[in-house]
Amino acid sequence: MLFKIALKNLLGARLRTFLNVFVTCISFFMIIFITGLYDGMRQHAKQVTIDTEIAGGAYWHPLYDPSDPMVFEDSHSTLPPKIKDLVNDNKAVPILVSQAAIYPNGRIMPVIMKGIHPSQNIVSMPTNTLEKNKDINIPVLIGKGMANNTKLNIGDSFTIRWLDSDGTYDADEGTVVHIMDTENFKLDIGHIWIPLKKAQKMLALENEVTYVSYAIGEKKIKNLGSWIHRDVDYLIQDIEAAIEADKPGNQIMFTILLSLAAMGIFNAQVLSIFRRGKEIGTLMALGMTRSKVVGLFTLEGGINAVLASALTLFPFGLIFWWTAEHGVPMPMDYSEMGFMIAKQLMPVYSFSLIATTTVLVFFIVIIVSYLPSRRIARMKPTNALKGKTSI
Amino acid sequence: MENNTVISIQNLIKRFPVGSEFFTALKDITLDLHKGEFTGLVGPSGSGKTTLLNIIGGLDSPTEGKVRVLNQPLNNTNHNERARLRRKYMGFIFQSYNLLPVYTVFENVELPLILNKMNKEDRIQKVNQAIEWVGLTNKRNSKPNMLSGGECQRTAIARALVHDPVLVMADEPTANLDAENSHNIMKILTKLNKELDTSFVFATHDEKIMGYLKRIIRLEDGNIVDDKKIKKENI
Repeated sequence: MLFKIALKNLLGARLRTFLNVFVTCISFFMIIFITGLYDGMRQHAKQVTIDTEIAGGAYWHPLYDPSDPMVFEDSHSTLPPKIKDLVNDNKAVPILVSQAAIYPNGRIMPVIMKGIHPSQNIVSMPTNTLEKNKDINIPVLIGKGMANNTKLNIGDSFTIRWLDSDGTYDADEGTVVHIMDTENFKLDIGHIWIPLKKAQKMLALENEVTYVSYAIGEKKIKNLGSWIHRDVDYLIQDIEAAIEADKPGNQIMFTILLSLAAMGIFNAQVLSIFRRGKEIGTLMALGMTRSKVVGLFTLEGGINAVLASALTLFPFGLIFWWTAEHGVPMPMDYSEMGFMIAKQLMPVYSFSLIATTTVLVFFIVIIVSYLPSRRIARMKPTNALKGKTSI
Repeated sequence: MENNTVISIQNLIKRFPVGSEFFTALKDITLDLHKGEFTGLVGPSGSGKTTLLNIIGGLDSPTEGKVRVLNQPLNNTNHNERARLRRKYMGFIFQSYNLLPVYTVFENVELPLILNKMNKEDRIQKVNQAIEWVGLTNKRNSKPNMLSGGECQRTAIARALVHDPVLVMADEPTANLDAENSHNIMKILTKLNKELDTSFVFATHDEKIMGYLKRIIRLEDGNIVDDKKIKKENI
């Protein structure tokens, strides 16, 4: 009976129902969209790191520690045979890491110099640009952020100074052959990339490398000797830790969005219910009990939430689909600030996000429908009949 | 209490708090109303007629005294029991019609039957009959905002009578209507009173409808100052 009356009330009050449903729908949309963007941003950071840096995993020289540049000069050796086979099969890319200093435009700047095989296709980097200019002494690939910091452009030359394996400082001229537009600031800021063979020659470390990144799908090699296998989970642990550290922030943002939604829905529901004081009085006069009045208005709120979910699926669902497919353009490049944020941010609308939002918004609607209707149903029917309702 | 007594009131007092004081709206009212009566509670504004009507209808509670409606003591009944009494045995007609604006005439009239959980087939039959009584068959699918004041009140009458109540209470039913519509409404109510043997209690100060009443109880300052039955052959 209540369901029938509630449905009739909602369908009868076309504009009022539409506005209430629309407010709830906007709340659904905003929460899912913004949280989806946020999730997408974090997932993108992880994916960019995997695509451009990690691939399927890595084998490290036992002394290598990417966060300690002081060990770079000792963390290199020839590859164990099995890893070498992987490299020869083009299923892995070797990288030699060393400290260096560059002198762009007369300034000194410490950098990490990485030698990489130009024809590799294991990580998503434009390393092939390094072999296009064979007449250049030291072809150098840098990132956009690095180019901005050093004011270097393609074709600009600058001095590179390094310490070779004999402990001798040496210097030569490098030329920027390409400026890569990467979202992974870890490949960009403070980095220069040169061909592996050139790096090995400069450092007098023939056939020696620091680490190897292998292709996605490759199985872990056993019996590596002293070399250490690092899987993707290990290599992205800093990002995972950053995401984990960011969770409270994410939860606060979700709570703020939910609170804003709750306030919007509460306003709409309170206005709607208190405007219907006379109707409530009439229903009481016709013999509806107080609990049924409360039940009716709460049920209306529930149906409102269901309709809002459906409405969110249809027109806003198209927006969700479109943004998930095409992304949302960001107004500026955040990579120079050390944020791995895509220029075209792809939101991720996970099932758990949609389900959690739906359940929470549903409960909010139920609560904000229940509270005012309970209060109004406590009134004397004679006052309700006169429309004497107040919050 | 006689068998055909539908309302029995003894020493009813009703006080309302006004600031720190109490205003006595009804002072020691005692009266009986009988089945099939067409009674008017008549008096100027503030005389207590609407308060008395609300207490009879279980919408308000007495401060002192005993009120029995349809053999049920209202003093001892809770909200739910009073709601049940209204739902099953009473009908209400209000001055401002109190129709649900989003419902059609049919749906407004159908509402008491839905609340009484009547099955759909019976409901349709009863609603159509009630709408026919009040002459609104051609307006059954109209919403209240498409109706005149007279049509709204006729819809309210159909809604008040559709579930065959024993007692119908009407609070200033003609106050918002012009003379012609007032007479039409009263003619309909008089006819239904005769045909259905339903008791009607009006709260009114509209002189136009006095001629239709079979019993006039005059109230002044919360007291009954006159109670007379009028013999009418043909109205």
